[in-house]
Amino acid sequence: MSEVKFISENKINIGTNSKILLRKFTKPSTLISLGLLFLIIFCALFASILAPTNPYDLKVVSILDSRLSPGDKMLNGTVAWLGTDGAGRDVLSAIIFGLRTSLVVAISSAVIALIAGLFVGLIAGFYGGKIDSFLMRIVDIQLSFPAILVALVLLALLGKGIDKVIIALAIVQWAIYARTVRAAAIVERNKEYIQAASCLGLSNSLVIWKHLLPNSISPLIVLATLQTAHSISIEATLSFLGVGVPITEPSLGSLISNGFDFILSGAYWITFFPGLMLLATVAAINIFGDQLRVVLNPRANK
Amino acid sequence: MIKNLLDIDNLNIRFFSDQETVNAVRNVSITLKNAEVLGIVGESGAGKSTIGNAIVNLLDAPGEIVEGKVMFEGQNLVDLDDKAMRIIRGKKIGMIFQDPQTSLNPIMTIGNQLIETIKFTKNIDDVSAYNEATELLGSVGIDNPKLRMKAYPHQFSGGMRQRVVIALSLAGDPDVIIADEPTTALDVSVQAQILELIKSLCKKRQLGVIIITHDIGVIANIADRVTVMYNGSIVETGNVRQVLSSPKHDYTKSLIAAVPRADVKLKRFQSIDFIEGNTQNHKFINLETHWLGKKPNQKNSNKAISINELNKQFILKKAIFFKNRIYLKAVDNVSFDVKKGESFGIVGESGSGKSTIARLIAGLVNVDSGSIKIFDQEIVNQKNTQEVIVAQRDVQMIFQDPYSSLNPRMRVQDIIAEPIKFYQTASNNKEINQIVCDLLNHVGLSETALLKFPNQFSGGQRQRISIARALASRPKILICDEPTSSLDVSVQAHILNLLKDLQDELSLTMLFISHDLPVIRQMCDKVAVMRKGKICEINSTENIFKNPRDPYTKEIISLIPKIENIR
Repeated sequence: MSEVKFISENKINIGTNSKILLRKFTKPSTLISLGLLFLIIFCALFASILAPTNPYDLKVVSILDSRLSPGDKMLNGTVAWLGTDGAGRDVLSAIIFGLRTSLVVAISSAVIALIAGLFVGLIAGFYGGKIDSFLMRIVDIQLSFPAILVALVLLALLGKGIDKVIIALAIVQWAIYARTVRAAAIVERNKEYIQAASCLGLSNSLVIWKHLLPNSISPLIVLATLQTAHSISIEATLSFLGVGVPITEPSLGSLISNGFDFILSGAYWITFFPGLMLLATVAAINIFGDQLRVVLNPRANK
Repeated sequence: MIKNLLDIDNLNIRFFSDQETVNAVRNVSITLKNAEVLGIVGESGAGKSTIGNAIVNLLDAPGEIVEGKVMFEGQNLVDLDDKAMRIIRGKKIGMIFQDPQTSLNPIMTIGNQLIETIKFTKNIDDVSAYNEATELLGSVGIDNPKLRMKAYPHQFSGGMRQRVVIALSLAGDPDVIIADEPTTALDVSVQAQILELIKSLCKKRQLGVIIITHDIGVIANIADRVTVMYNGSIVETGNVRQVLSSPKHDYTKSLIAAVPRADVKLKRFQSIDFIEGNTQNHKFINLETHWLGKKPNQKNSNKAISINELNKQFILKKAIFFKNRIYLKAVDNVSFDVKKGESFGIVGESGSGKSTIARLIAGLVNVDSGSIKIFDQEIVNQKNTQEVIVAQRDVQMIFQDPYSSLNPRMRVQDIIAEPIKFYQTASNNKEINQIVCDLLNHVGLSETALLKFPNQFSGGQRQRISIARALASRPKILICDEPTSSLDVSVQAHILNLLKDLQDELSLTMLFISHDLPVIRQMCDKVAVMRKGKICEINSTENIFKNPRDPYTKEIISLIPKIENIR
């Protein structure tokens, strides 16, 4: 059976999008950031294998190794390429383990915030009217406080621990997702396919789940990447201030704060290298997210 | 004195991209004389707008003139640089675009925009430029031009804005005007005035006018000569009367046959085969045995839809106090009945409330007051009982914009299967797949469509998918809200044919909403004419078109662009 041919109507290209996507991703800045990102995730995943020493194994850590400069040999013979901190922990190993903590906190808080924000945004966008106004005022209130302040207060209430930090970061961030999803959902909601679905008699929850959600989610992909970078830096700030993750499970932020006491006495490496890693991580994620936005934006496809 | 103003000789335009090179315009030669309106007509993708843009060197980036000349006053416009071309565009060749809203600067008064243009093209002082601008505004038929000089574009209606755009294009005393779909965004009554204006200006000022349009009615009304384009090439050029009355090329014949006629009702659109090529006509289904024909709880009532004193208003301006709120009465005390198996048309201009009625009946918008009965079952303000749900399922809608009425993330088979799965009207997946295939065949698509996404289809094909989706919930009433207004005429003819066939076979009741009177004439048995939320006249189609009683009906009937006169 032959396909109906419509000569008079425009030809439609099929399968060219993936080609354009690929070409966009081969820009040097994207490649570098992508490479760095993979490296960082790889390090975080296999921290216990990759790290020269285990900085949390008290049997290995010796106070005699404290404040070795980068390149010195430690007592057990391994070279501390990035030096050691005040307690004699290898800074390189601490960074690799710290990355893991930072990424776990950032990604899990981003996922929780995204799901909560998605839910609120879809409801607000779909129903509109009073429900929308009510939810968006909550979002406004949430967004009118600085993120750090809200997180500080929350941590003061919740107490210490990684799970508490994740909860605090999720509460700080959900509103941004909610507002973005709502904007996308309102645009989609007014399209005729949503009306067609209602006309078929589908229940509201089904219309939201099957029709509205898949079409409103794309701006979130970019936002989630950028927000992950953001939450890494919030987490680092909190840890630096001493309210973040406990020192027994240090993240990049607590490593920076850990070396802060020694920075004036010349042991710059304890603070400097974790700081550099933080910068590299956030920058890599941001550049990647930016490129993602360019690629996913249909208007930029020229 | 008649001379050749513009000579386009063997023009070839290509669009280059990574994937393919598109020959948008192929070997086109056109001459334009003074005091002449030349129409270029064709469907979307025919290359007609590309020619218009190429003449004034406004081709968009990937497009390139690869061969040919555009001779104007002894110069080849193709060779001119940007600066020289800007002067030509200002002084010698005026452009009128489709959307008057976007071609005027919203933060400048009409007067200032005119004065600026006049000063640029003529090098005269402010006072005489002002005088000339007022005169120009008067000459395009705007009353009280002195007062209107101070107005901003948003204070004008669409038709008046288009008059201002025309005035702007005349500001430099051009010899040639290129009008690209100048009336497409306007209502019929305004369209007629604008066309009349362009025609009279052309004769008075001895202008050469090129009018680019998809609408043969417009061509018949205004053009002296017409060029028919198809797929980038000219298929036929000649005197309007001769081309429209005895077209030589098959494409022209099909195109003219596809235009709905306002004078007689035809059973189907005939001889439109050239355009869709080897169209596979939809397959017939034996309703006695097929799923589509089986339907539980059939109600036997003669009234399919019965509407009584229906009201709906929208808030235009919100305010805390009720008296400060401003409402728009979209539907104002409307009552009518639609008999079972009837095709009922609602016709009216934009904003007349016809689409709101459709949405009220489909249950997409809440009713303020009044009653809607579907097969004697009241559906307004009812609890969700089985009867109400069944009644609402009996009504399905086909929407105007095929590009937004299908979920872009779902495959065609899932789109069509959705109502069947939701209501569990079929027993297993195998049966569902069979039904979906049958429905697709029924609307003239093949099974290869099943796994594709909507963006892989053209507008007409998408509309077929929409129809299949509507049929999947086995409706008895089909509401078509401007189902063909965003489609080309030839595609429109096929979709209308399909709807007619489906109605005959499935004995559907149809509520057909359109602003297009000839389409209504072809599709409907009975028509309601709406204006500003009220019904002016309800009568059989024959009576509405032959002996309209209401003054508004008389007016809109008389304004239909008529090809028949020429035919």
